[in-house]
Amino acid sequence: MTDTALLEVRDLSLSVKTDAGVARILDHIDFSIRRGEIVGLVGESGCGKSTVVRVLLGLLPKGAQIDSGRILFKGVDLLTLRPKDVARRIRGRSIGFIPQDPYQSFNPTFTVGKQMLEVLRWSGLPDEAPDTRWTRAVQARHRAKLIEMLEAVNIADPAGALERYPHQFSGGQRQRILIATVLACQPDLLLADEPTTALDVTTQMQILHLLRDLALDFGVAVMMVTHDFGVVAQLCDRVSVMYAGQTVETGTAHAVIHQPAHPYTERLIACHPDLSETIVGIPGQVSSPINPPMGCRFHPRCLIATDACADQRPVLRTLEGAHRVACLMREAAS
Amino acid sequence: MLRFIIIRLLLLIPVLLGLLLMTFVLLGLAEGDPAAAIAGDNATPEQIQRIREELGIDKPVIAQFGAYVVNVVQGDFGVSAYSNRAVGADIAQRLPATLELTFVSLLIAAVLGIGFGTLAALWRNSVFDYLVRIVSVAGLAMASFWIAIMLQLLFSMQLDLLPLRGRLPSGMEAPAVLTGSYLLDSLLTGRIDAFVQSLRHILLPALTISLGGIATIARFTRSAVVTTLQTEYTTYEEAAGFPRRRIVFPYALRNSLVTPVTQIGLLFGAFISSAVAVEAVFDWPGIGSYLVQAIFNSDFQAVLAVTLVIGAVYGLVNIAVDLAHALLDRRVAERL
Repeated sequence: MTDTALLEVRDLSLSVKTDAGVARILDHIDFSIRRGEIVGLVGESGCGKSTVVRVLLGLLPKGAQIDSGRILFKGVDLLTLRPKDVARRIRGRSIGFIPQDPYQSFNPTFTVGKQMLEVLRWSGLPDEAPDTRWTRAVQARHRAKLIEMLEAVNIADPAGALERYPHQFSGGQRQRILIATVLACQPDLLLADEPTTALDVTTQMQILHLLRDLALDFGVAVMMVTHDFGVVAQLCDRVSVMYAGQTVETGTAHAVIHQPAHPYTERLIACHPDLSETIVGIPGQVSSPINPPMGCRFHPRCLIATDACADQRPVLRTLEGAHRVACLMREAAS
Repeated sequence: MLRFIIIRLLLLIPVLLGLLLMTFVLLGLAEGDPAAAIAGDNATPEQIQRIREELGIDKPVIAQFGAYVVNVVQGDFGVSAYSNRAVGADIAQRLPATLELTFVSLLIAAVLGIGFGTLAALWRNSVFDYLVRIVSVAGLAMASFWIAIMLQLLFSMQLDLLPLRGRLPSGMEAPAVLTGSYLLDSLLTGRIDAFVQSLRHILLPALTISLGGIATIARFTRSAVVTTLQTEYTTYEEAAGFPRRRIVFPYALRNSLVTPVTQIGLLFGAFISSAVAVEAVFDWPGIGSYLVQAIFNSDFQAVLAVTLVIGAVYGLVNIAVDLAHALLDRRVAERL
C-alpha cells in the first residue's frame, strides 16, 4: 500500500495573465507523494512553491490558467473536479494546510477555540460524512477532539486555551495549535508551507520534530515546502527541487543531498552551513516568469552552462532508481 | 473596564469646562448685546445699563464665567433673556427630539454604510463598486439643507409619499413621555398609529443627515474589508475550507469594523451640526432650531447651555465608541 502514490503531479503548467504579459508560473512540474511519506518541495522564494500549494488546494491565483498536466489525488484528477466538489470533499478534508506564519494566520478578534472549531466544522472529523449538520452534539465532539489534540501537541490547559485569544500565545504555541487542528481532521495529505520560517531557531526544530512524529503516528503524508535543505535532511524521505517554476531534480532525500545531480541543487546545498563546509551563495536571482531565459531557466546563473544550455530545454531523465534530473550537462556526462 | 469608564468620565469635566470657557469668551467678543436686545430699540443708555447690571454682564468675563459655572453645577442653566423661561426646561423639552433624529440618522448611516461598503469590497471594481464611489462623493459634496429641500420636493410635494415637516401629523396626540423619543415611547405604550406616523416623519430628515455619513462609513468599510480579505488569516481560512460567506461574516467583518466605528463617533458631531440646518428646514422641534433662534436673539444663556449639552453628549458617544472597540477587539479591551 505504501508504494502506491497518494498524489501524483504530472507535467503541471500554469500561467497567469498580468499587465506586463503572460507569466508561466509553473512549467512542467512533476513529483509524487506516497501515503505516510514526507516529501520536501525545495527552492528559493519566487520559484512557484506556494503556487503549487494553492493549486493543490484548488485555490488558483486570480487570472491563473492551467495549461497542461494532471493532479492525481487518490486516483482522481483534481483538475477535472468541479470547484464546488474540491471545496466540499478535498480542501481542508482530505488535504490539510499548515500556514507559513502562525503570527498572521489567526484572526485576532476571535478566540482560538472559535476559529479551530470552525475549521473542524468545514473539514469534519474523519468518521463524519461531508454534510454532517453542525449540531450541539457534533460541536461537543469536535471540542473534545480538539482538547485531545492540543494535549498531544503539549499545550498546557487545553480547555482554557480554547477560550483565549491568539495574541495570548507565543508563535511556537500558535503553530502547535494549527498542527493540532489540522491533524484532528486526519487528512490524507498535509501541505506545510514553510511552517517554521517565522519562528525562532530554537522553536523551529521542536515544531518540525513534533510535526514529523505526529504525521507518522497518524499516517498522514506531508508535503514540506521549504527553502532549507537542513529541514529536508532532518525530516524528508524524498525531495523535489524547483527552480523558476520547473522541477529540476527529484529523488530520495539521501541521494539528492549526498549526490546532487543538478548544479542548482548543488549550490542550494552549498548555501547550508550544516551540509557544506564552505558556504557559497548563488549569485543573481530567480528569473522573472514573464520573460524566462530560453533553454534551461537556470543557465544564466549556472557555472557549468554551455551554449547548448541557452538553446535547449532539458527534460527530467532518470539517473538511477527514482533519482531524476533535468540538466543537459548531466546527460552529456552519462 | 469600569476604571476606564470612570477615568474617561472624569476627563470629560475639564474638556467641557474648556468648551464652555471658549464659548463664553467668543460670545463676549460677538457683536450682539443681549441687554440692548432685551431693552428694545427705544431704550435709553441708562435703561440698557440697568439691564446689564441685572444680568451681571457688567462684571469682568472671568467673574461672569465663575458665577455661571457655579450655577450650572447646581443644575441651573439660567433664564432665557428672550423668553424669560428657564433654559434648562427648554432644553429638556427639545433635546430628546434632536437625539432621536441624530441616533436614527446614525443607525441609517451605520447599517447602509457598512452594508454598501462590504458589498463594494466583495464586488471590487464592479459597476456596484463604482456606483457606491460616485454616490459617496456626491453625498459628501452636497449641502444638507439643499438635499433636505430636494427630498421634500420629491417625496412630499411630487410623490406625496412622506410628510413635509414636524414629528407627527397636526392633531395627533404625542405618546406619553417615557424616553422622549416618539418612536420608543409609542412602541412602549402600544401606540402603533403614532409609531408609524413618527417613523414616516423622521425618515426624510434622518436620511438627509445620514447621507454624508453613509458615504464616509461606506468608504472606510470598503477599504477595511479589502485589506482584511488580503490578510494571511483569510488565506488560512480559505485553505482550511471555510465557505466564502463565513470568511466574510463574521470573520472578516468584525476585523473591518474598527475604523468605521471610529468614524461613527466622529460623525455624531457632524450630524448634530447638520441637524441645526435640517431641523430648520423640516420644522423639527429640536435643539438645533432652538439654537438658531437663540443665536438670532443674542440669547447667550441658551447658546451656552446648548453648547454644553451637545458637548457632553458628544463626549459620551465617544466613550461609547471606545467601549465598542473593546467589544470588537480583545486586544483593545486589555489596554483599557
